[in-house]
Amino acid sequence: MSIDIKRRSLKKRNSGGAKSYEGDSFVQNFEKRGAREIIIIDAAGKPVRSTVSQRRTYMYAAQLQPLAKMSRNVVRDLDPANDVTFLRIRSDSHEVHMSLNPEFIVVVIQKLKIRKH
Amino acid sequence: MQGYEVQPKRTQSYVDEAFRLLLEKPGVEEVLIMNHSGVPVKTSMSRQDALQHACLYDNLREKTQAFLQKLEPQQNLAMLRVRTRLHEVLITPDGKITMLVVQNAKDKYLKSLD
Repeated sequence: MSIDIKRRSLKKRNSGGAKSYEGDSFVQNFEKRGAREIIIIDAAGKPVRSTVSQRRTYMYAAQLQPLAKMSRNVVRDLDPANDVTFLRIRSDSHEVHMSLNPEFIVVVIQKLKIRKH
Repeated sequence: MQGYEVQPKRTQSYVDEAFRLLLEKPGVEEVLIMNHSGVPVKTSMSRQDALQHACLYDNLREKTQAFLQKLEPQQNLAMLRVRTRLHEVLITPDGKITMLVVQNAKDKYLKSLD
């Protein structure tokens, strides 16, 4: 459901690269909740939509798509009936959420606030 | 089977305590603790399963760490969570050991919407 709505409400900034989100309320909803960047990657590994610059998007997609494939292989090796749905990578200052579907990979990158205890 | 236990004096009390505490948490199915080279030190599953899990997930963890090093700024992995249809696997590097927990993650959010 959400992927179709995203496509329909997309406003293209320039006709050449159809890659940026402009005024998309769905994406801005994410940004309010602390998400920094959203990248959508199709099944082949090409970035389809993104809120970051093109260079960084390609960098992320090139790294994350093999990682998603590898984790799927790992899970399938252990249990052939199982399949990955979600990958959460957490570091000191950032968190990367990847939601894996058969057609798309949705990547959300969050910047974490430093909490002082 | 109690797991692949080395001589007691080499197993720290920290590892034992962590293992015990992890097993007590609700929803946890299996716990595996590896040393810095990826060898299972303490586990609750059978030896063969433990080796397989450790090998595969340690590999994944290394690749994830490589991905994080390539980002700017360079960061260290704090936790890796792989959620599958049947369960969820958490991999936590902690100094010289790595803890791997297989838990049964029930989807409570969607159920509460029904």
